[in-house]
Amino acid sequence: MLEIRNLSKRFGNQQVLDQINLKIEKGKVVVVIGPSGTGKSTLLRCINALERPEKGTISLENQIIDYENISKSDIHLLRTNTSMVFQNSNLYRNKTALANVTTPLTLVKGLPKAEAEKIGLEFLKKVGMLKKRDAYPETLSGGERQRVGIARALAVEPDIILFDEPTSALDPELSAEVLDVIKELARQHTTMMIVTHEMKFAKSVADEVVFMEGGHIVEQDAPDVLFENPKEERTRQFLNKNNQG
Amino acid sequence: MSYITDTFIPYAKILTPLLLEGLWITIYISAFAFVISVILGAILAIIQHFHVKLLSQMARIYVSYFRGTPLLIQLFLFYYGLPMVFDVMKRCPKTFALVLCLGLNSAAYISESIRGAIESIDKGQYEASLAFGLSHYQMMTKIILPQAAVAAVPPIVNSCLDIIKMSSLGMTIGIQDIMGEAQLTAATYYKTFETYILAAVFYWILALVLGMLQKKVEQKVGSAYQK
Repeated sequence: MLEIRNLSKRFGNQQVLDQINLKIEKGKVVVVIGPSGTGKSTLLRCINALERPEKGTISLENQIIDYENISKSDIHLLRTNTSMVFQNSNLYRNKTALANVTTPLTLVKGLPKAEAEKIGLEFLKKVGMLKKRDAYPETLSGGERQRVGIARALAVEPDIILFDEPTSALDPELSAEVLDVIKELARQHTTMMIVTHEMKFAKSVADEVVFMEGGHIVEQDAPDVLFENPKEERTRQFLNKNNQG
Repeated sequence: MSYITDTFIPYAKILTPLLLEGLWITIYISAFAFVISVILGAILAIIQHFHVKLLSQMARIYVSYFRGTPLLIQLFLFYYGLPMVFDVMKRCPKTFALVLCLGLNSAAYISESIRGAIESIDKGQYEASLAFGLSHYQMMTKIILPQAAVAAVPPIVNSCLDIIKMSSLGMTIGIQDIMGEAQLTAATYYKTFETYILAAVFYWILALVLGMLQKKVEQKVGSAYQK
C-alpha cells in the first residue's frame, strides 16, 4: 500500500500540487485524469523523487518518508520500490531490449547476469517482445519501446508501477497494443498508478479514478460513479469536453 | 624525368630512414599527449557538467587559457620560462615538456567536445537511470558516457590529428621528430622542397591511418544507433 499525505510542490511561484492526499491499495489500479498542466505527471514524479516536493509524507513498505527531510536512503527506497513507465519510454539507447530490462536488476539489485537474463526474458515474453530481445531501441516502433519499458518496470518487482501518459506519444494503433498490455497487468492485480488522457481505457482498467485540476484532487471515485455520475460540476464539464473517449 | 630519377629518388633514399626515426618519436609523443588529453579532458568535462563548486570555475579558466593562447607560447613558457623561476625545471627533459604541453593544450579542446557530447544526451536518459535506482556513477559510466561517446568520437579524432600536427612544434626546442629530422636534413643537403614534400607525406599517411581507425571506432560505439 502506498499513501501520500499533504503533498505540496511548487515550481517558482506556481503551486503545482496543493495538499494532495491519496491512498493506493495493493493490487489496485488508480487512474489520474484531468486537463494538461494540472500536476498529474508531477505527482507521479514526486512519488519516486524525480521531483522534490516541499512538503508532505509518503508511506511505502511500512515506512513513512517525510519529503521535508528526505535522505539519500529514503530516495533509494522510493526508487527501488516503485518503477516508472515514461511517456517517451526513455529506454537506455545504448542497450538492447533485453539489456534494458536486466540493467536495473544487475546494477541495482545486484543479481548475477544469468539470473537477470532469465528474468528479463520472462518479462519480455509477457509483453510480447521476446523476438526483439536483441534489438536496440532505435530499431523499435514507439509501441514496442513502450512494451519493453513496461517489461523493465515489471522486472524489478516494484510495489507500484507509475505510468506517465504511456500512450500520448503514440498513434491509435500503437496505443492499442500498449493499452492491451496494461489491461492484462490490471487483470493480474498489478498495483499501478496511471496518468492518461484515454478515457475509455481509464474506465475499463481503473479501480479508482482521480480527477485533478489546478494542483488539487477535485473528485475521486470508482470509475462507474465518476464517469457516469460525477458529483462535481467541474468533473462533468471536463468529461463532456473529453466525450468520455 | 631525370629530376625524379637523378635527384629526388637518391635523396629520398637518404632522407626516408631519417624520417622513419623521427616518425616513431612523433608517434610516441602524440600517443602520450593524446592519452593525457583524453583523461584530463574527460575530468574537466565532468567537473563542468556537474558544476562542481570552485573546481568548475578553475576548469573554465583552464580551458579559456589553453584555448586562448598559442601552443608555441605555452611550450616556450614551460620549457624556457619556468626554469628561470624554478631550479627543478632545469632538469625537465624536452620530450616530457612537449608531451605535457600538447596534452594540457589538447585537453582543453577535448573537454569541450566531451561536454558538448554529454549535453546532447536527452534528459530522459538521466531520469530513466535515476528512477530505477542507479547511482550517479553507474548512470554516467553505463548509460550516459557510452551514448556521449558516439557524438564525441569525431571531434576527439580531430583533436588527435591536431596533436600529431602540432607535435611538429617540438622542432623549436630541438626534438628530432619527423619535422626535426626534416629541418636538419634540409639544412644539411640544401634540399628544402624535396624534404618537406616527403615530410608532409609522412604526416599525411599518419592522418590516413587515423581516419581508418576512426571508422572502426565509430562502428563499434555506434552499433546501437543504426537503423
